[in-house]
Amino acid sequence: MNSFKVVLVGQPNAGKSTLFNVLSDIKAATSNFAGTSVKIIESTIQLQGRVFQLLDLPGTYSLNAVDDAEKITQKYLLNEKIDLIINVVDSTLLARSLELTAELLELELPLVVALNMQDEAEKRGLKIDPEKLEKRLGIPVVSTAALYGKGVLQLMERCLIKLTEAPVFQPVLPYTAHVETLVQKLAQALPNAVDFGNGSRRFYAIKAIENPSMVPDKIQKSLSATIASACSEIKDFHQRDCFESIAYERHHQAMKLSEEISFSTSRRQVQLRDRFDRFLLHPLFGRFFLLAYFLVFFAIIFFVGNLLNGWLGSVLAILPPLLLPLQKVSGFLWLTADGLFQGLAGSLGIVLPYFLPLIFLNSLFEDTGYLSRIAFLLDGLLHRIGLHGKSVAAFILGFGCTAPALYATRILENKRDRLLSALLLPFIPCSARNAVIFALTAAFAGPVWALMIYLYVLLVIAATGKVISLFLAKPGGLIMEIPDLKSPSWRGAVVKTGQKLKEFTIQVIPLLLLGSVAMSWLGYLRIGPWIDAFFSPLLQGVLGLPAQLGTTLVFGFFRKELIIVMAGQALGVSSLALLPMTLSQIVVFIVFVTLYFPCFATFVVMWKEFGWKTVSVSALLSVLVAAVSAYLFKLLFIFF
Amino acid sequence: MKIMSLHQAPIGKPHKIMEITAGLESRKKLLAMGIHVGDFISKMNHSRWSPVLIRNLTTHSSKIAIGHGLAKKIMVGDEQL
Repeated sequence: MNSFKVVLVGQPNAGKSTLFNVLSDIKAATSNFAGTSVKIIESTIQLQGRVFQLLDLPGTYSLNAVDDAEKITQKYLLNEKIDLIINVVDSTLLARSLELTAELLELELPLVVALNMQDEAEKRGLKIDPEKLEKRLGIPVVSTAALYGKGVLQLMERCLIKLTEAPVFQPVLPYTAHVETLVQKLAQALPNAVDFGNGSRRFYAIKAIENPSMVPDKIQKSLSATIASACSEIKDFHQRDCFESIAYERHHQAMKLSEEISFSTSRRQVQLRDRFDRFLLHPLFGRFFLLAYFLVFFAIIFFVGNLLNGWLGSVLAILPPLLLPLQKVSGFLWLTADGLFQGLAGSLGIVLPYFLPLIFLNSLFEDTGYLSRIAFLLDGLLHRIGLHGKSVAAFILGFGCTAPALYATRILENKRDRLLSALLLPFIPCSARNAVIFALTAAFAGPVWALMIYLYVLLVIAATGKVISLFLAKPGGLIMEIPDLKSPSWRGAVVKTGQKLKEFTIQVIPLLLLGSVAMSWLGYLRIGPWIDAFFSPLLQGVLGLPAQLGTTLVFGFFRKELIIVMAGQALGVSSLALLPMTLSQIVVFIVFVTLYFPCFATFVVMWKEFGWKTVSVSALLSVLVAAVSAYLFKLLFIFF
Repeated sequence: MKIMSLHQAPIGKPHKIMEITAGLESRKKLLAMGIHVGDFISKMNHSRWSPVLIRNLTTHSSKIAIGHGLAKKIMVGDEQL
């Protein structure tokens, strides 16, 4: 039995990922920041004995893509084999969302509309009649509340009917008489021999007027005279650019449609939220709140992390004595077992305690829409370092993991902003480096030092951004949607944290164990000292750190967590608190590790997204910045 | 009717968008976000340190933040709704 390929398409923040999560077991990262799903995510589900291959495409405002995330959706819709499109419509933004629906209808692929968040629209005073919309569009329309899983099964049932019944004629929305005549004339003139992929003749006729870059060159060449005359006619008639003329036509279609199928009632229940939002966006109070938010965020991670660290550490301390008898059997075996234990103790006792509160808090606030407010508040500041507010989403994701944060730069419209963000992102301490910072400062220096290091890192990012942007063009203007506030969902946060924890257990812990065992073997085979000798001019000579830490830095390239997991092993002590290092050495080491080199995953993603030149620049830049920074801290200790 | 840029426009009052003089890419993006010439919008803040925040009254949009540079290129009139 063959499966059906069903794609979810909608404007950013329409609730696609939430719907996708309900529909499948894979949890895509959802968040209330316009355009957080920037990759195609796939899942297979089974319903009534039929298999659906479900794809969540990045949110797009229209099929005329402006940024890289939108381009992915546009390309996919036009070129891949698709059995059905589910258009997720945000009911609270009905008129604007229907513009995309009108455009999707032009593709003439089987289409089903999920009218999402209707309850929310009603709270805001917009009552919509889904049946009327269904009648007007001639395609199935299902009311859903993806957040609560309402209407989702019904949606899939309607999809199944649509997929198995004989193809039904799907009407398109007509343009005004003048444009409509031109479009039809052009559609007829299109050559027969060309393979259009998914778009219909009508679709390409419209795009030839609206956005010629989407039309295959062959057609453009063979019809250039017809297209040009249609365009100049439209320009004369509408007194507007061809692109704008079509966009306005579509806007009027959508406005007319939305007026027909909905009516306004009184607004209720949202005044309080609006007032809170005004406070959050206030130039002064909003920034105070933001500062407090960050401080509380880090305080929670620090203290909860320490608590878990102490508790898990004491549990894990039971294990080592049990391994001792092995020492008599075989030195090699004992070293291997000891390496395994060190890896386990490191991942569960040091990395996990700080990882857990971080991802939980991130998941809790991701969906509330606060991220876009942060972007709004920090826009002015980011302009000073050559970026704008929209990069904030990527930077905040970077505190979790740099690799997905690099993907998140896809929502930035121009290459320059993407490149600069990508070069700065590896400096943001990811969850692994957060664990290094928190665990080491907790053991040696106290929370004030952790805060100092974070402030320093922000300073480094600002200074580096400023310097790099001197070599680049001026940043583009900001246009960013600020979605409505939503209350945090505890259930959602627990589910997402569980998912990330599973990933951590399956993908990261084995690597940490492996690395730790390898470290033991390097010691056994006496290879470690060679590596240490290679790095010692920088580590010992310049920075005054124990040379044995060199090996940990090499392993840190694969997983940054390994640095902290192995540090004790490298220096031959059983716990971090016993490291034979002074306060100044610890701080210098943390600063160096936080900035020193992109990890393997970051390396690969950056190569794929930006090319080898960017990776090389990033690698060189980070080594340089890390060495200079660590040296500055060393000087700080000497002089103060 | 007085014509001014969105940057200069007073906050809280409805304004009609008369003309957008920005480049094609910015105009495309504005259109995609549901900002059209002829729409009534309301400016919600005025601060040197943050972008301009507007809401589209015609389409009941969510809030949209617009950089100051671009706000200078959006011409609005104080025509009544």
